[in-house]
Amino acid sequence: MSMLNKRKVYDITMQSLTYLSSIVSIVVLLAIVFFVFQKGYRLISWDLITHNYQSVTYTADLKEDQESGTFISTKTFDDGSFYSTKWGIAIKDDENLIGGTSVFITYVHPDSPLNALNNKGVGIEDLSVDVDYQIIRVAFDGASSALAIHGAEHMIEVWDSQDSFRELEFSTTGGGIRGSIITTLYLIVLTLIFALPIGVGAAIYLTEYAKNNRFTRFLRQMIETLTGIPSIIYGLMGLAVFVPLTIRLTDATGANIISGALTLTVILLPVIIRTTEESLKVVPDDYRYASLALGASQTQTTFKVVLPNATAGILTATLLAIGRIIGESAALVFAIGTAVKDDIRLTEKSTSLAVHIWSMMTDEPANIELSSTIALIILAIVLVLNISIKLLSKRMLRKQGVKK
Amino acid sequence: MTLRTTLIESLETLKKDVAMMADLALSNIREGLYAFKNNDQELAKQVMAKDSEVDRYEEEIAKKAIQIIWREQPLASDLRLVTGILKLITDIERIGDHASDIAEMTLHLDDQRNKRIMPMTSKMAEIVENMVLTSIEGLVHVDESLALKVIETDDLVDDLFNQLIQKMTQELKDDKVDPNEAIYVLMVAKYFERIGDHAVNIAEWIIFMVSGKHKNTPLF
Amino acid sequence: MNDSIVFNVKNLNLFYGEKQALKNIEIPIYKNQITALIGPSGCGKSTFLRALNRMNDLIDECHLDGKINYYDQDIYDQTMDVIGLRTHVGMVFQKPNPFPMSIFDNIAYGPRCQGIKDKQKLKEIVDEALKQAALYDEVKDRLKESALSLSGGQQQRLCIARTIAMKPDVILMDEPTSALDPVATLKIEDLVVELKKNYTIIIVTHNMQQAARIADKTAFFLMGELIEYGDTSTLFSTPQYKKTEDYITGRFG
Repeated sequence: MSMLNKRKVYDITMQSLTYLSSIVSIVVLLAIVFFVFQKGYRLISWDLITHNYQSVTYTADLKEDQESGTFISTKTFDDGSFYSTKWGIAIKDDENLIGGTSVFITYVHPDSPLNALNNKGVGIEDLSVDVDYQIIRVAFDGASSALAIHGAEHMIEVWDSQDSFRELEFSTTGGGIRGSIITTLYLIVLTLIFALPIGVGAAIYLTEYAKNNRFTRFLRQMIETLTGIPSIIYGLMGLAVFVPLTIRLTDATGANIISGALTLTVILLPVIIRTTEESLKVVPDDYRYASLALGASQTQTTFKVVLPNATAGILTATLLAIGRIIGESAALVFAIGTAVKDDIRLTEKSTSLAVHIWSMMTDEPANIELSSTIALIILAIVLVLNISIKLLSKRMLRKQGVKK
Repeated sequence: MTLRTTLIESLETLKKDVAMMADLALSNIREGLYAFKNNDQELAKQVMAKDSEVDRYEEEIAKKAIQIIWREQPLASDLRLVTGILKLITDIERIGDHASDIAEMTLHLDDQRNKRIMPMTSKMAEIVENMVLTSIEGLVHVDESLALKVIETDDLVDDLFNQLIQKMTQELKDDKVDPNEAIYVLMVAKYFERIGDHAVNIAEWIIFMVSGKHKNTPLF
Repeated sequence: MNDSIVFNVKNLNLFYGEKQALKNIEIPIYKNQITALIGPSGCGKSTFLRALNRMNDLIDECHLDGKINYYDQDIYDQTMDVIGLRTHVGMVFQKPNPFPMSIFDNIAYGPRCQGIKDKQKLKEIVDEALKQAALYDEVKDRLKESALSLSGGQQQRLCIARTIAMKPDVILMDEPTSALDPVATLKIEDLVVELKKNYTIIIVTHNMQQAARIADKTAFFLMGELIEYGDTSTLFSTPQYKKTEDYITGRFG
């Protein structure tokens, strides 16, 4: 009797342990997501994604033919904005993208003279103000300058009382991560273009064509080992090999996106080869035999029967690859650079989202909030990719008639 | 580990049953002849009754043989054995019938048999009984040589029968024997001759079991 | 017997590395007949079958000596076009293995690999093959459906149709019904008997009753050797060799 009970107790204990492990894992995962979400959601906005990082500050004055007037607007500004009928502009105090307060433009009357400004500095001659630009300072001849730190209300009061102003210092919106997002996308596309054909090709060779001899086994062993090498080593290699290579072949002058993509390719190749090999191996030999027995050549068999069946697996490999690309920071620090740029060129330094986070966190002071926001965006991208690949796979399997 | 023990045992049982059926028929022959020679009416009636047992054996063996066919799907020598047995039990049953007929002859005569004509019939009987015995041995051991011996011996039986007829004719001409008695003795002799033929049939099926050919015609 | 010989095997010795799988096999295969290969597991009958369409090439350590003549060509000669050989000598496997594609695509696979693209022609080939395989009526309205939606027996007939679509000369069958239920088995046996009018068929089978039912000639293999080969009726009624007799009557496994 007691023997039976002992076993039961043992059974239940073991089961509970497994339940416990799952619960712990889930709790940990949820905690991470929750933390990131909590810190980051405030700063999420469409602006963050689409705007340049660097905001440009201009100093401007009115063009010759522009002057103040009366610009009645029928809009009601109930979001805390203050409207100047003389100049046709509404501004308010708000939080900027990196967490401080600035004066933002919320509305510009279409006839406002502020639409045609003269750049007092170098560069573009014609400027205009736009919604979401920040006003730093307005300088007057007949009054002391209105500064952003004095608040929007004060600025409007002073401005309204003047008929002209000497200088308008404003900055375009910045702090957006548009540049990093574009870089990340470029990286994904380029790396996949390099890595997928080579990786899948190598996997096909190893599975379908290579004879099972010592050389092949050695090759496989090497590839296995490569998957375990820390990526920062690849980063060093990228710096040492790909950066000079791209400098020589293109008009690049330092680390650039192409060298970054090449480095990522090298990191990903072993993984892609491995995963593709596995999905090729899973295709039953029965199909190969049937195809060959019908008089198909080895190539036809591989491309018409084996590969289509392995596509689901290859898609998974791609997904893994993309995840890695997005998340790879250490290696890219060297191979691509850490400059957050707005004007992305393939042959110039840039940064990816992950490196951007690193960059934010190594600033003084560390900007955890923005980093969390970027993290959320990354999570969102990965989630979308995941779902779409799952849907794709399901569609493909259904076409083949495999009942899941 | 032996395989198909069920089949092997069934085949052995089948052969034993056939041997026992033949044994019974053989003892009926002996008793029938004894009854006829010694005018034992009681014995004669017993022998006639026992023939139904021989018939029952035929039914039983046929049933078992058919069962082996659908259960075991026998092939090669097993198939030849089973189908051969199915055929030869008919001949054994006929032998049983003839034994009964011989016994029945007893009921038509009153006294002891004439010592002049009985011996030849007795000689025939002896040879024929031996033929039946040998054919059964041939079956149990599936021995072709024994089967061939039986077939050869039949010539001797036919000769003896012809001699008997000649002798009988002579005795009747010489008026040395009662015609009524002579007829019945002749009939008994004829029955023995028929039994001999059936023994030959059995032997031919035994040869089929070994070679697959019946009277030189391949049956496959 | 004046039947022409399709395969003439002389002195065939086949090895997997060091191990000898076939010893000195000599056997003629006759046209438009069903030849059955029987024998216990591991006796070499499947290996022998695969040697006839050079599927053994796919196994690394497999090598052989001796001659296998397909009509008057030694199929192991250097100049032999293996892929072409396989279009003449088709194979159906033990486990039905249709591709995970539509029924139509399965059967059209072979012809497409040979370069036939014309839709009309492909349709004709597929219909013809399905009719010959006695499957047409059952699937004619769902040719675009996945082949995997068919039952086991239907899948096997599909595989036969797929092979027939190549219009081969010989069809090799490696235990084609051992994975099927009795009714499906009998349907395929009937099909095979019907097919022998146009094809030469060599069938490996574990089921002796099957060989007895449909084969014209039967070959008995044991431990890599060909023990006996002859008319099925003779082999099953009066086998020449005791080993054959013992195997057939089940006196040993």
